[in-house]
Amino acid sequence: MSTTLDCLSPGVTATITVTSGSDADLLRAMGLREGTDVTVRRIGEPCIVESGNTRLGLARCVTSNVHVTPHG
Amino acid sequence: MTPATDHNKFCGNSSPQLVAMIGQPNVGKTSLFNQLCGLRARTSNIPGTTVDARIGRAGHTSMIDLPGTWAINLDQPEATVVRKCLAGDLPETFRPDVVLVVLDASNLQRGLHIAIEAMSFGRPCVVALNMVDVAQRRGFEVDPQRLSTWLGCDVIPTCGRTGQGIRKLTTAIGRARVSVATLPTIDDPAAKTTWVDGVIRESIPAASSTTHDRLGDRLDVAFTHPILGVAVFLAVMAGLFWTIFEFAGVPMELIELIFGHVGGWLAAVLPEGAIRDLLVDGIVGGLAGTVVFLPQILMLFFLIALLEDTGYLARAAFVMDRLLRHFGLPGQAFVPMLSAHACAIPAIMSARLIPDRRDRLAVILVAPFLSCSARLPVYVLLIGVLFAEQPAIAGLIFAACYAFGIVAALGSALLVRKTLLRGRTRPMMLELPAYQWPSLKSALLVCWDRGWLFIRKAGTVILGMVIVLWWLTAYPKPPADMAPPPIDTIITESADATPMNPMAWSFAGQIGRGVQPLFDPLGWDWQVSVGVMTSFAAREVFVSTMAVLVAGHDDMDDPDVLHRIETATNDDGTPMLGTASAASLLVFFVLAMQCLPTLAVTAREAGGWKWAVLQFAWMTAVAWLAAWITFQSVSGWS
Repeated sequence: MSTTLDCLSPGVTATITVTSGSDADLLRAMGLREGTDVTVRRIGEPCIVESGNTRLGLARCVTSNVHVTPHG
Repeated sequence: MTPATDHNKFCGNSSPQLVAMIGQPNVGKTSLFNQLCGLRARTSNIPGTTVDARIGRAGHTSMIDLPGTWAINLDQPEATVVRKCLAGDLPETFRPDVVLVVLDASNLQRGLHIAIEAMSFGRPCVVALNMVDVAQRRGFEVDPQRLSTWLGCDVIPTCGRTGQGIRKLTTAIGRARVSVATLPTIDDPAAKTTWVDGVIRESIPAASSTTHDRLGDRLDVAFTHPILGVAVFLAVMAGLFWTIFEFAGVPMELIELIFGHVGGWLAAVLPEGAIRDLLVDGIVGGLAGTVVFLPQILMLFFLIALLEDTGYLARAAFVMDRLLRHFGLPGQAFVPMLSAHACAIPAIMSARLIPDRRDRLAVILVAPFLSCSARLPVYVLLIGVLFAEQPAIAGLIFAACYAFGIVAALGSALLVRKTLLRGRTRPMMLELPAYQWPSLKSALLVCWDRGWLFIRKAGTVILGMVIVLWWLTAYPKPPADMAPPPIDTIITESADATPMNPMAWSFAGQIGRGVQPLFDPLGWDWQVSVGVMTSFAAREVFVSTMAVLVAGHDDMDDPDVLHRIETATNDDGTPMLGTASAASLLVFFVLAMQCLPTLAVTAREAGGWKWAVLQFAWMTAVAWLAAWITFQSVSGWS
């Protein structure tokens, strides 16, 4: 089941399938590449996500462009 | 590092002329730079750009700490500067012989992508595997030898905070070579990712298992909470400003005392005349009025550097982004905007924390709206006039002045972002770095750098402007054998005490009377207009100018002086500071750009005098309009 990062609940881990939008290159450079796992730490505007050792504060307009497949 | 090793830092075949440091944000690049260069560094603008970089000396080699960027091929000012530097498109002095790529050892996956990009420019490279202490704490054990084989250049484990690996790094820089490895092309993201994954598998032993930062998790729950996070933020900022006001007071008094003694000594040894006036009142007085802010500036930058180093500042930006985003400002804007309540000069300088240029310019333009400490004497005088017998209301009005400044700043920010600085606001994409103990050495070096920048500005542009303004207020002198100008005869309260007021004769006095028609709709007498004009050097000068004009001297310890200002009358016998005119004057001082040194700093930090002129014009127009509305409303009401 594919969804976007802003729709996940806190604690849920997912695999990034597509990163789109005008900030896609920056997001990839920050570590959110296709194929990597990401965990939501705090929801809201902005939200906090974690990927590997990177913890990022992201606006909703950014996370809504990150398509993911939740684990489990 | 001993002096002996200092002279031979790069002990390879030949010392490179220029080493450019590149890396992503939060990889400890600046700490590493500080270890290499120490105090022999300065902040300079990169020609043809609006980006600053730290440039220093390590032995016989120049080092340039390029702005942190997440990738070199991004369409962002920081990335463009790095790209131009590595491609040799900047002037000769910015063409590096060696590129030092700084990676976070605990975040190799992300860093290797920028390493590949850097190496594609074909320059000799060295990789500093920095923050190895954090990596070890998290359970990462990178094999630098294997990594070196993959990258085709030296890879040196370092710790910028402690200086670990610095000696090996300088040796490696001395023998740096162009990578001989077969690297993936930067245009093929899939190949890059596959290659990076392979390098990670090879360079990090399988036994290496990471540990989760549970303390960091707990702290983040509190620090980024919508309510608790704001409470923590307010407490931290209150502590920061309490520390500044508590501890900056003594050195500020000391600076005033020293300049006072120097001025007194010069006045005693020099013969009376224009030269003495220039030295004592113009240069020494002008410098004292500017350098007195140095302790506040140093303490502010020292504490901000400590907070940034701990990782808390990123959390504070995260929390404040929710509020400031509505006004077109990023979360990072809170530091300059809070600092502006002490003094707009360090506030504008601290706007460098904001990565996006449009965001930074917006903050620089509106920061002087926020009530700084120099406005306090004026507030005290005018609120005292308006609500002399009502301390509770006086307190409320005092708070309202601060609130009014905040509203004006946020409103102006919104306006400027929707007009002049129109464009997409960079959405929040902020790394929340791992928590760590701050480095005292790094904070002191930041403090030194900012302090020196301010001193240079104070000793050149600001001093020049202050001297011109002093000259305008001091000359021409009234002729000794001439009767006072007719206008002075109407100073009914002080006519006997000041038969001849030099201020009224001065160019500033004449300008004050010349612009009187502009200020007449605000209900101001010519004396108030002169006070407003002379306070352009610094707002607090208004009170002493009024004292000289009305009472004949500015000894504020004389209890009669304030009373005389409060009860002085206009030409027609009405009170000079009546309810309506005092209210309009108060509103004007809350909003007006009455600070020449701040304008000079705005021009420097924003990258041109046009921004300073715009700031002055906008703030003065808003202040005039608000003062006029206030005067009309209060006049009609009373």
